[in-house]
Amino acid sequence: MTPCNCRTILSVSLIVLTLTASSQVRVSGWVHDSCTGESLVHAVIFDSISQRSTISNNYGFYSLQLTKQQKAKLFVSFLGYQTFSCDANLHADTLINLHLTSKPEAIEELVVSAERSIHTQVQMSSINLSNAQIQHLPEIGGETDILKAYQLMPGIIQGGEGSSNILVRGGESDQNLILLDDVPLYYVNHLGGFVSVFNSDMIKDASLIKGGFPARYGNRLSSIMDVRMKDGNTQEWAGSATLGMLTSRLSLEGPLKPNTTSMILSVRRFMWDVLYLRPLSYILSEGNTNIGYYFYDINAKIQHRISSKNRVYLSFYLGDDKISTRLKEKEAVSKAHAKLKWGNMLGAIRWNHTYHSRLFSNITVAHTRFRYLSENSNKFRYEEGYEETNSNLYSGIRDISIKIDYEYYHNDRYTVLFGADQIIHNFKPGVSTYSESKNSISLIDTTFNNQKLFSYENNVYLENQLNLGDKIKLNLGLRFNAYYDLNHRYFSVEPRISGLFLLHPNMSLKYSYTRVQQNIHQIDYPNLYLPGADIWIPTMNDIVPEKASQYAIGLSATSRNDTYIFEIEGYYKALKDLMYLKPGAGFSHGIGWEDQIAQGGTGQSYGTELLVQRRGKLLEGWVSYSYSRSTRSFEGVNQGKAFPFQYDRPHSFNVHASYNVRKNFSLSALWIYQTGLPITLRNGTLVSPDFNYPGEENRVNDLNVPSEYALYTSTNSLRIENYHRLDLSMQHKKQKKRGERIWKLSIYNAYNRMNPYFYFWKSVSINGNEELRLYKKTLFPIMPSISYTFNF
Amino acid sequence: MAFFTNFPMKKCTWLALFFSGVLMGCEEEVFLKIPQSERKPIVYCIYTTDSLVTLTLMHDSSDPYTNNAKVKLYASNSFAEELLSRGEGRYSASSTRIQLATSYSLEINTADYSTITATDTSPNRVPIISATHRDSTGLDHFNSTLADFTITFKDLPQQENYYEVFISQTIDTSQLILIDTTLSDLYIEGENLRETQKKEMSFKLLSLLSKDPSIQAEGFTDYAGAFQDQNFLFFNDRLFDGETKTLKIQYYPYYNEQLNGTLYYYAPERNFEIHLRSISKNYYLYRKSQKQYVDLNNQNTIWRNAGDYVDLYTNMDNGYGVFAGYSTSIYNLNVIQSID
Repeated sequence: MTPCNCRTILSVSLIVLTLTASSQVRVSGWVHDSCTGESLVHAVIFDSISQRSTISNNYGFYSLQLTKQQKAKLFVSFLGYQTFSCDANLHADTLINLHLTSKPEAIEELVVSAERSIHTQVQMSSINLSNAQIQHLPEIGGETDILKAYQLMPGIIQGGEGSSNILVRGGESDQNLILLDDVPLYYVNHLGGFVSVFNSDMIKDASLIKGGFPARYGNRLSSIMDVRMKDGNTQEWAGSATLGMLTSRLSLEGPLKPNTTSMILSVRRFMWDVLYLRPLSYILSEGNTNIGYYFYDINAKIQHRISSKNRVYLSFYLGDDKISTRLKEKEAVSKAHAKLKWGNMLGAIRWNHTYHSRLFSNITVAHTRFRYLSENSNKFRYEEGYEETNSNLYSGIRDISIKIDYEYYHNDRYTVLFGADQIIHNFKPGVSTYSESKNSISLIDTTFNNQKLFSYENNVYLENQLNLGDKIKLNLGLRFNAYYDLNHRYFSVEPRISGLFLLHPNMSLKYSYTRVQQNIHQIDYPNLYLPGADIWIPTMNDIVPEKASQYAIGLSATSRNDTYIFEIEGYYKALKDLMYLKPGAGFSHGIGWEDQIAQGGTGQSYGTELLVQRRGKLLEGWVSYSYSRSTRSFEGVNQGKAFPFQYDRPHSFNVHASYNVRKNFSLSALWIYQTGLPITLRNGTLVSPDFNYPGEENRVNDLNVPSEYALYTSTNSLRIENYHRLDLSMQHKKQKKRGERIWKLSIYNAYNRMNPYFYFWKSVSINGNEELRLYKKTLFPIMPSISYTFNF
Repeated sequence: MAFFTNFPMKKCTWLALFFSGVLMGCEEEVFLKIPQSERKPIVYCIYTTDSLVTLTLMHDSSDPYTNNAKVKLYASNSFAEELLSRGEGRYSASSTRIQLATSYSLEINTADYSTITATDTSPNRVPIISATHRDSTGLDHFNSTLADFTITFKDLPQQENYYEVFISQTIDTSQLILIDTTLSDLYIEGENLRETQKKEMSFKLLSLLSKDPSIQAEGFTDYAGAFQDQNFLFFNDRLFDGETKTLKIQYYPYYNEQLNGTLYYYAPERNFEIHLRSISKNYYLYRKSQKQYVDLNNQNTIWRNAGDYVDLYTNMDNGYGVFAGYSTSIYNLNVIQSID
């Protein structure tokens, strides 16, 4: 951005700040669930007399400016809740806390719905999914998953079948900033991506922004996913227990002090190790081997309302995947134990403070950590005693951050958001220890690559939300990022522009421009297809920050009765200074990654996205379609020519419908169609001569290497079969004496489409000759699942 | 990964995780039109100090040899000589002997292809300071005896160095004591020990293993080494730049020691030749991609995605293959051991 642009945005801010309206008063307060006391995020507050509206912020706080001494008729709506209305006489700034009641399934939609405002919201390329919408989707293995729900939206695709990874508008998975209660999570998958770390019992609200990032967000190139945990029931103790085919969950929430302090705790665990894996491995190995795998998540939160102006939240998350193997020969000649563990730990304390009806602040102090740990010990017994070796690997990233955000509601035409943060990154790309002892006498005890890399990141942002007349809305923002360590400094000025022009009372044109820089990067261990085995590295030496610029334009409309929502968008994204592992890279223990990374890659993504949603008491659902292309160019790969991105899927089409047959019985269906992923396949043979060293002509096989090597097509120039499947589900609820029970039956891939998980070469005999033929492997044929939940 | 060095963990884990998927999943042949690869000549030339350059030149798999090329060798950017055709695609220098730390280039002109060029520098020799050998240093998971070597050398400072190690063993067959009389045939290098007329037999030690972080850092599993003949270990000096390096290498002395409790034969005197090669970066990258290629292709077929690939490294412009050099230091170690 040029200095001239910066000045323009700042000038606009200052001019608008001077526009004060003394004849105005302000209504502010919190929006809550009347039964649980849970604050409601992004609820719409609408005054039908002045036709002014606002939306509650990420903490449920709202502030609405109205004319003094005027009567107001407030409607408050939130998806899944009965619309609440109240009258107010306004003589001065007033605090009104609003309490909404959740909507029984059969109650008719009321006048104002949350979706009505979609075409009036300046934020584009954004998707909000409520817990109710997620719960209506068919499950896999009895597990509802928010990341899998997002994969059904236009512009977002999954990494591979069954994977929870999200890839947004041609971006990589490490280019998504995934926030849990304002704190980044570095690893969001369990079970190789089959299940995400988000326990649906704990999610209050989630939104995902694909482009047009507001200035308050940054540090990742492709998307911002903001997940908010529930605060806990402030009224009464409640809970739920779920038995699924993959996991079991238990949640408990309630008031520690009614209406003042609440807590929520939820635990989820993968049960297969206990039920299948350990017993099976033990039996198959005749007692010599014990192999186990499990994952777990623990979410907890405490909310304390100190006063009407102050609230404090403590959030905690701990989740790990763990694989362990014990091997013991029956004669006890050797013993071995190996353990692999990876996961996140997150803790945050947040303080909301309302200075007055116009100024709201939040301070977050947080710690987040992702680590990958491998431990391996072996013990050999022989005539002279025993020898023991231990080798361990630790790789991880740990952040400590402090962030302060302000929201100033100047008037109904101008709101300013501003804030700053500091993050201290502590990287350990790979610390390796090795020890060897003989008869308890230490022979070797060494630590390698004990590299701690500290870097610091500072961000300052200013976001101006302007309503210029009745038809134009703007969000003009600027974000300044400084990233530095002892030897390097990088600065980035990132303009963020979003605009809306109301073409019709129910239709608007939206546009946005975003520039963003990413300073930390994730690389995978080469040649290891192991989930979790990735390392995070900082910007340093030859590794410069990755950058992206994105332009988007779109139309957004709602039908007159708010039943249909229509959105279409086009975008173009340019990526710069992308990083990649050099061809032939190979390292282990996090050692040597520095020399094996090359940079200077570029990428391009563009596409069109269409989303049509239907809301209704009986039938709900959506249709989404996206046409998108994404390419990469790296020197030294594909002869320097651009090639399709690994997850480039030009066409993606999803239809979801949920039908409430009765008050307590619903049916749901989902159909997905996607172009097959690109692939590189062998297309020739490179013959190696008798590869000898000088003077050793007779030693043909000394190197034990093949005499032929495969040659390959240009990178990602072919495609695997197109992907499609149909999922069905049925949900039945029944009120019991002590609570509500829910049975959910789902069928994944109902017509048993043999979608390829991957292709492989297989040698087959044709007329007595061995030939290599290409085969596909299908891992997810028709899969029924059932889950049982009891809410008490 | 250390985690996988001793167990088939990767396979076990995935098999366990996707147990139900595998049971229910299925495979089916697919038909995909795949364009054929571009034709390029293949050149192989590995040279060492004090030797004459010899290379092999091929069209491609369907037409393997060519003899009508003009192959020019340059030393330190100056023309040295034109290599002579020896038939079957082989060309060799007649007078230019490879010198240490000198840059060499190839320029190959053929009637069918663009000019092929490649450059490499022969590295300096790194002497082995000392080497020791121990028998019976442990048993592996399969109850097989392991022996080891400890090799010490001084790395050249302030430059990237790459190494390759292999060890050959020579035994005097006339001194062999055959212990196990139940076995009718005992073979070394294709020679039956009971019938051989050779007085001395040499062979490279197979299945070299090392837990040394420099070797582990290459990212290869030594688990594979236990089942495949891994008679060369290669690594770089990133973790010991300019330092004196002590490297411990284990191996299976099958021909000399107990295997499953049975002593087959016994050689009271053994001569080992420890070869430490200083290899060029091109040689290292070529060998590394070659090893990755082998490892990838050794993976269980049902888990090997046809889309996963390793391109064999090449430093040839307009061609495939490699032009790379090395220098060798040899340490002789005589081991005499009496039977208990």
